[in-house]
Order: sequence, then structure tokens, then C-alpha cells
Amino acid sequence: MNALSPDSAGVHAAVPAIPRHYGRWWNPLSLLFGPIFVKEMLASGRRRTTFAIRTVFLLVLGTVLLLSLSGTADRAAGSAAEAQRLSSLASDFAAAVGWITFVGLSLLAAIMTAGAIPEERSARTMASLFSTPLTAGQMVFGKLAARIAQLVLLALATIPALLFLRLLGGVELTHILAFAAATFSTVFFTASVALFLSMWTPRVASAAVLASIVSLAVQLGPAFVLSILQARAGGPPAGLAYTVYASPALSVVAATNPSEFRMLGVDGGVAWAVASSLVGGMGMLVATLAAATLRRVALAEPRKARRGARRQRHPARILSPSAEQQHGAANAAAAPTVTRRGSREVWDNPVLWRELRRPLAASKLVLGLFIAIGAGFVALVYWRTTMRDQDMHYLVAYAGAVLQYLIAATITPSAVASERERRTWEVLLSTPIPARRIIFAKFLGHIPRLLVIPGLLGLHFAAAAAQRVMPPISLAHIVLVLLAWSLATAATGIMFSVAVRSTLSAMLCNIGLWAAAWVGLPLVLAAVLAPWDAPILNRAVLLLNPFYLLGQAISGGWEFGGGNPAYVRDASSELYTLVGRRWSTNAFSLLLLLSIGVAAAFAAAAMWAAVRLVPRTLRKAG
Amino acid sequence: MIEMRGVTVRYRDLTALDRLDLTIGQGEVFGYIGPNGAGKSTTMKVLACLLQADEGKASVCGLDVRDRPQDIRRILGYMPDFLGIYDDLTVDEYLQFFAAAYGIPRKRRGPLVGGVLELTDLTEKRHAMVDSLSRGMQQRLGVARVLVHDPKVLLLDEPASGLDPRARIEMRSLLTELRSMGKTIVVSSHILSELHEMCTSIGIIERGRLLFAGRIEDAFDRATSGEVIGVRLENGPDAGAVRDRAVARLREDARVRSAAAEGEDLVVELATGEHPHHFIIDTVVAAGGRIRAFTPRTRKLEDVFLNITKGQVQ
Repeated sequence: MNALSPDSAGVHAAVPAIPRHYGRWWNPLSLLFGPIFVKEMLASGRRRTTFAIRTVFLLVLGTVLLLSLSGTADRAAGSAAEAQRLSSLASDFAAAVGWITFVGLSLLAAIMTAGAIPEERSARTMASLFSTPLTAGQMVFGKLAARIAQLVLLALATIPALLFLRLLGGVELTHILAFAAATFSTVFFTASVALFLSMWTPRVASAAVLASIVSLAVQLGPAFVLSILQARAGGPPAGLAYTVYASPALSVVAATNPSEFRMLGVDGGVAWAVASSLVGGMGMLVATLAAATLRRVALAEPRKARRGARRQRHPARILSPSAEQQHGAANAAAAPTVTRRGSREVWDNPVLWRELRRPLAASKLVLGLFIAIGAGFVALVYWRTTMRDQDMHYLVAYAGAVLQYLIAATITPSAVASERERRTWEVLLSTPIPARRIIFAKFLGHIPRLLVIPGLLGLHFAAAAAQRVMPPISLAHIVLVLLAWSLATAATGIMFSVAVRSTLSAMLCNIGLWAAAWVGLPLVLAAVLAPWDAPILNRAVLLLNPFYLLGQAISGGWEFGGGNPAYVRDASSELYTLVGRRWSTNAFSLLLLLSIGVAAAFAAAAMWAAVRLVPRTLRKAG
Repeated sequence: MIEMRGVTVRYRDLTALDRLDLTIGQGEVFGYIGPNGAGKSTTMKVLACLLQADEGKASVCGLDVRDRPQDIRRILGYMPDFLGIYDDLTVDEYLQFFAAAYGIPRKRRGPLVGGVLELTDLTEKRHAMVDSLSRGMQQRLGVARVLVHDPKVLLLDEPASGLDPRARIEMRSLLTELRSMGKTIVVSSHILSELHEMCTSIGIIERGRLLFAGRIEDAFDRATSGEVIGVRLENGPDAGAVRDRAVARLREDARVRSAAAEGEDLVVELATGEHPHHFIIDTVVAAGGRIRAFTPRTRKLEDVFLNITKGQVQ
């Protein structure tokens, strides 16, 4: 018998037998904890980003713990009535830890999973994976399981914090269960959506942002829509309470405040289980859909290359007559190429030219989704509310601001990191264009994308000013604050893009930096400075927080414009509350200019650091 | 044209280049050979002003890489080992992009791009999307890119890597054409036979140390002492014994450096100097052998490489 014959015992002995259950869809062990899971866990275990995420998460939890302890010490020194309030501290602390875990892990789920398929694509390992006996289901669920396992490890870090609650009298088991179920169902759903979207879009940032938006829409969408629909009618909207059963986030609120929700007809003890099952089931559906379509999508050529282009088959010409003689013209390869009707003229600053010509979104589908969601939101708001509704202005401004900062924090981290991933960075640096010009061109090239939302908000507040609801200066306040801090966010994104090798890591660093500056720093300062009774210092740091400034700009503008007729409306009226005292319009404008100056300084420092870090990007053995 | 003196580059504990001395003259085609991780790419990065040496001096056309990087970039074209491409540009836009990067005025870019496309035979792909080109075409586009500013020096890091045989032949023809244009070319490759055909000089590097640099003929002289002759004997019942006898007698001859049996063949390496071949035939016949074929073997760059690196390929 031939040694290489399939029937040869030698060959059979060399190839390990594949278990019969291997690859069966119903086998959870094979589906979740197969080779993909092991590989992902090993790889993420070696990544510095993983350690950085864990460290940051622990730091955040530690900060919350510190703040709670400081609050405990403060209150314990007071009267007996104050001491009684200690009992409520445990539930407050549990809620803080729970919400931080819920929001943090949901956001991380989107960011960490959005790179699952693009990573394989850029490493060109997709075809190799599909040439193995692994099924698409094993790939999808293996990747999901590995990334969720990383988040579970993070969640385990909250156990010591929860044990600390025992010192304060403990917390109800139902609350912990509600938080755990809501967090993990949301994490699973968001991760599934991010992975599904990552199959369709080449940009990690687009998938992460869209997945976050979808997750937010699932949590708050139904309640938001019903609230808006009922806004003009007044009174509690019919059916609003039942949206709690579809939203893990709201169900946790119901579980921790059962008596208030019982009055609305919602059983807080059941809602979290229903909502978590529902969202978890939706996550399973999305993951199954991803598994069903992975092979077709991942192995297909980039679709955008086909769109709007003319596919031609040109036989490649042989370069030299000698080569032609050797191979024969008939053997010339027919290479399928995509040809445009013409080429554009490149500017003298080619990097800026290219950045400005990059599409707003990764694909028309993504752009269409963004426009549809935005248009639906705007239509609903304008249809059911009026310009005389102050809450409507807050809603519009904060929705815009969240989206603006999410975009600013996620688009620029790919600026240089993607060049490094594509290996075009070295080529660019080998040209006479100085590094600082490349970096600045990349920054300037992203600015148009950051003008869309401030422009739309500008139109909204211009309409408000036209109806004399708010003064025209509010328009300038809001747009400038939004723009200045989003440009600073974009600049630090460029810096991380140079400093960190992968787009995903750069994105995480950027989001982490601004979360620390806007949320962590005020909390830490409040705790640290509490014994010295120096509110001005810890409130001054809020000048760095555009969300806080935005709120003050709207509330002050509202009082100026007609919200409170008791005020004398001129520039000297002290209508704006900031850092613990009242300010006139002019003074508030100056404070905003100061804040914008700080944002500009941040941006300048980030750009300087980015330029300085460029030579480091080339130090790799070869 | 290119001078490197005592250039040392370290990546933490790893010494990528160890006191490298190298001189490449104008118009030379310098083949840079070495195993993976030997320091070829690092050398090119130092010359392309992408990496600063920890010690030593390097200059291109008399310009120091440390002091005059911008001037060097204008006269040098660097093609890295992995061609990164912008997937959202056409071939024309891609070349225009780099023409603009080299500060070429807009009016001159069109004809210039047309010229390099013609040279690299990509004219009919002018408006094709870069990412839709085949690997061979992308490599040619990479060469077109480094030619767009008409550099005096070309640094080509593995330009033929990953190409099929036909595309490799095309690439070799292109490099030969560039050599005829008088450009100084430094090209690294793992395909040594191709370097042999188009290079005027070679450098062999291993673990950051330059083991040899000079004319290709000198490399052969250093690595092999003389000609190598293959003698095939007719098979017979006592063929093995005849071969052994012939090998033993040849080894006794002062004109023979080494003799060995390789399968059916006897391989005889002559000592340095001019020696007539008939004494080999006489010796084999005297040993009782009947000669079927007598072939002087071509010296290969692979043999030079293996000899000089002592086979320590990683």
C-alpha cells in the first residue's frame, strides 16, 4: 500500500482524530470554547491594552470607593440622624458600582468587539480560518465568548467592592442580581451588534459607534419615543411604564426603586429578568445572524470597490519582449481590476487632500443609518414639542453633544494607526513632507466631520433665538463649547494614534482620557479637597467639562430669553450659574473663552506630543 | 554615492546593525543579501532617514543622513519590503499624491505620472483603483512611485517578494532598465539567482554584521577557490567501487581542492589557478571508470552566500 494513500495506517496515525461532536452547532463547548476562544484569550492576555483597561477600570472603582469612604467619614462625624443615613450608603454605593460597571462594560463591549473581524481581515487570516473545519458559528461565538470573558474578568473586580458593602450593612441580593443580569445581557447584545457591524464596515470606529448607538436606542428608545409622543398631551403617557420590561437599564431602576414603580403598575422584582432575557435573546439572534452571514461577507471582495466602478478585464501586458518570448502572450494573466472614469487632481498638500476626500462614513449604508436615526430623532422632537419647552433644548443639545464627542473620540485614533496597519506610514515618512505637516494635515482633514453636529445644533438654537426663546449669544456659547472641546478630543485622538500601534487601543485610550478628565477628575478633586472646604477649586475643574458648560449655557440662556420673566434681561443680569456663583452674560462669555483657551492648549499640547512621537513609530526591528 | 562608517543600530537588547562599513559607488546595482532579521531593512531605513543610527555616520551623495534628511529624501526613492497602498485612490491619484509630496508642481505632475506609468507598463491601469491591482502590478506601482521624483538613488527592499515567476521576470527587466538609466540601486532579495544576473556588486549581512561587500566576481573568488566539475559515470556492477577509487586518486592530486561522490556523480573542485581538465578524465579512466558526462558547473550566488555565512541562516 502506498504510504501516502488515504487508507494508509501511517497517515491516519499522523492526523489526530477529530471528535465526532466537533463543530456541531448544538454543542456549547465546541461553539464557545473552541480554538478561536483559546487564541483570542492568549492574544488578549499578551496585549498591553488589556492590562491598561483593567487598570483604568480598577482605578475608577477605587475612586468610587474612596469617595464613598470619604462621604462615610464625613457623615459619621455628625449627629445620630446623620449616622442613620449610613444605612442608605450601602445601596448608594452599590448603585454607583453597578452603574459604572453597566455603562463601562457596555461601552467596552462595543469597542472591544468592533475589531473582531477587521483584525482578521487586516491580518489576512480570514481565508485560512475558513479553510479549517471550524464553522462560522464557532468563529462568531468563540470571538464573542473570548471578548465577553475579558469583560467578565473586569466585572469580577467589583466583588471586593461589594464585600466592602458588608461593612455598611450589605445590599439586597435582588439588586445585585438585577445589575448583573442587566449588565451581561446588554454586554452580550452590544458585543453581538458590534461584531455583526464589524463584518460590514471596514472601520472599527464606525462599528463601535453604531453598536453603542443601537445599544442606547434599545435601552432608552421605546421610553424616549413614548415620552416625546406624550409631551404635548401632558400626564403620564399610556404604556410608558411597560417599556421598563424591554430595557435592562430601566429595569434596574425599577428593581432598586420598587415602591415607586409599583404605583405605575411595574413589578420591579420581575422586570429585570424579563428585560435581560429579552435583550439577551436579541443578542443571540444578532450573533446567529452574524454566524449565518460571516462566510459570505468576510470572504467577499470589498463591496465599495465594486460600487460606482466599471469592472474591466485587461490582459496584463508583458513588460519586456524577452519575458513575452519566455511565457507567451497567450499566457498573460487576466487580472480583474476596478477602473474609474477619471482621476482627481491632487493638491499641493497631498495628505490634507486625501483626508478631506475620505468619505464621512465607511459606507453608504452606515451613512444612511446615521442620517435615518438623526432625521427620525429630529422629526419626532419637532413634531411633538415646541421651542417653548426647555427640556427639549437640553435633549437636543445633549444628544448632539454625546454623538459629537463619541465621533471626535473615535474617528481620529485611526488617523495614523490605520496608516501603520496598512504599512503606508513608512512610505509617507520617506517623502520630504515633514512629520508635523503630516500630523497637522491629518488633524485638519478630520475637522469637516466635526462641523456637522455643531452646524445642526447651531440651526436649532438659531431658530430658538429667532423665536426670542433664547438670546443669539447662546447660539455662540453652545456651538463654540461643543466645537472647542471636540477639537481637543480629536487632537488627543491623533496623539494616541501615533503613540499606540492599533486603532482600537488608541480609541480606548482617547475615550479613557476624556472620561477621566470630565468625570473622574471632578469626583477625585471633590473627595480630596473636601476637608479644606474649598469648593471653588473642585468646581473650577468643571470648566473643562463641556457637558456641564453646555447645561449652564442653556439654563442661563433660557432665563435670559423668557424662561423666567422675573429677571431683567440685559447683559449685566446674573443669569448664569457657574462654579458655585452667578455670572452675567458677559462674564459667562469670558469664562467660556477661558475654557475654550484651555481646550486649545490641550489640543496644541497633544499635537506637539504627536509630532514628537513620530520617530518612535519607526523603531521596529527588521 | 553611499557611505556608511561604523553604523550601529540597537533595538533595546538586539543589535540590528553592528559597526557597519559600506561603500556603494555611483551607477552600481548593489545586491543586499542576508537571512531574515539580518539587518537589511534596518540598513535601508537608516539610508532613507527613517531611523537614526545609535553610532556611526552615513551619507548619501555626500549628504549626512543626520544633518540633511530632507535633502536626501528628495534624491532618494525608498520602497519598503511590504507595499502599503491607499485603497481609496486610483493609480493616477496615488502617483500624483507622491509627486505632490515631493513638491513637484501641479503642471508637471500629469506628464511625469504618464512617463513613469509607461516605464512600468501600467499606462492602461491609470484610472484603476490601486487595491484592485494584482500583486505584481502593485509592486510595479511601488517602483513607479519611487521613480516619480526621478531620484538618483533607489532603495528597494525585497521588490520581488511574493511575486509569481512571470511578475518576477517583469520586475527584473524593470530593474535592468533602471540600471541602464544610470541610477544607483540598492536591492535586497532572497532570490539570489536574480541578484546574480542584475547586480554589479553585492553585500552579505548576517546578524547585523557585514560579512562581505564588493564586486560580485570578488565574492565568487572568496567563496570558491576554483572551478567545479561534475563527472557522471556509467552504471555497472562495480560502479561504487570505481567511484571510490577515482575519488581517492583525485584527492591525491595537488590540482584538486576537493573531490566527493554525490549520487552517480563525482564532484571535483579544482584548486585556485588555471588547470586543464583532461587530467580528471585520465584519472577517472585509470581508476576503471567509463565517463557518461563531463560538465563544468556554473558557480551560483547561493553557494557564495552559504559559504560566506557558513550556513548560519536563521
